[in-house]
Amino acid sequence: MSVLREMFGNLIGRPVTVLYPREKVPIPEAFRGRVAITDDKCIGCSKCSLVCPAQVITMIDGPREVEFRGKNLARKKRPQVKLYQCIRCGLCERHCPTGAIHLEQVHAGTGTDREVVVT
Amino acid sequence: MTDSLFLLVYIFLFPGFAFLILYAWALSFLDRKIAARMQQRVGPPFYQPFADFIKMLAKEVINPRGVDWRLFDAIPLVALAAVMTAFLYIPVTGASPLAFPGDLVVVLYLLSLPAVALFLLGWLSRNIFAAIGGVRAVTMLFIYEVPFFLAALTPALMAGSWSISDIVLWQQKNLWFVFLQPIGFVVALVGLQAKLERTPFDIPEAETEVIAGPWTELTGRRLALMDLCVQVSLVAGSALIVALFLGGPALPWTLSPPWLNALAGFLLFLIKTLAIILILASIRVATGRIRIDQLNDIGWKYLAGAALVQVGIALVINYLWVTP
Repeated sequence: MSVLREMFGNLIGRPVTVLYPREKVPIPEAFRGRVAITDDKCIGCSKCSLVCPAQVITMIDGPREVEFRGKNLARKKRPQVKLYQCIRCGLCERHCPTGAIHLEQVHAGTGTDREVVVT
Repeated sequence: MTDSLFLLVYIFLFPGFAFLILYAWALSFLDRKIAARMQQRVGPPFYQPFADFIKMLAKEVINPRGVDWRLFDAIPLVALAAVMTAFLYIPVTGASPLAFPGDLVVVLYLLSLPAVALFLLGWLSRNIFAAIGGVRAVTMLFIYEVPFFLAALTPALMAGSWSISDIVLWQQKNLWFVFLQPIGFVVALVGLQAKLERTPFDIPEAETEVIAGPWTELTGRRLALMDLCVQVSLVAGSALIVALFLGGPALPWTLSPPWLNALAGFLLFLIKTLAIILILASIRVATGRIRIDQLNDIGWKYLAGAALVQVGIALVINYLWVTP
């Protein structure tokens, strides 16, 4: 009987799911979406590349003058991430001293090409 | 309108094939929607069954190695044709013009054909899961058909006719059989649920055990037609139960222009079939799949017994009141 009560209660109540992708659920604050890099902030320290457990961040050439804590530095490298091999653990974001590499709050983001990169 | 033109319209347009397919999609949507809402889901949009059908028609047809593709193509068509033909004898707006004494038996046999088709598909697939599913389908057939036939034939016993239209007419004059034969009604509903292989009787398609059973090797248009066959069976089965137990489209009185009478009867038919769908969807949501041996127990010990008791009660009522 309790099953029937619940069933017919649900029938007149509101559903708990939404019609994705027409409607979207709010994304939680700590959600780890696809990886993105703000090149203006990056100082090329390579920490992200060192901590990445999936080893999908490689440092490529990207020489540029950057300012960090009041000093001018000559940056040599910048990170490149293989997007669909990233496991979205968020370690790069945690270790980045400038917040240049971060995980966006975006749900979608799957693909089949393993070589797509984000720079 | 000449008789032959009327018959053509009846068979192909309304309430024949065109209406039947549209109504099958509509009922299939409602069935899924009701089940979804009972499970707190949103459920599919209204065009989903149609979209599924078109999508599957457009998909590639894959012939498993060593399978006779002609038979594989023909069986879903035969099953669909059988079910669609069965619907023509069931009153929708009034008595069917194709009705003849004994059409109830024909309808019951035609409605059994999809199960046989599933068995043949499973057997032909050269796939172990499909074969097991097919054997399960035909084992189930032997279990639920007897109580379903008994339950469906009891109204015929009391009405004194084997024609569905006559049974509806009898109920119009007397009382709906759901009040006279409540046990038979319940047995028929459970039998229909098993016939349509819906939970808790989806044993042939138990995905955790046999992938999709006889459906495993079906692709493209074959899958589309077989899916449509099940959806049409849902309409034909619920329409049959409505006609046998809920008085069909017959009103207790006759309205004066005949078209108004037919329209009112049709609306009544829609409401009653929707009620049946609500019950069937509720059974589907409220239960989990049972094993085939449990179905054997339920079918032969309880359903067949209950149907026999109902036949006995009907005979007694017949002897005492109906035929003095």
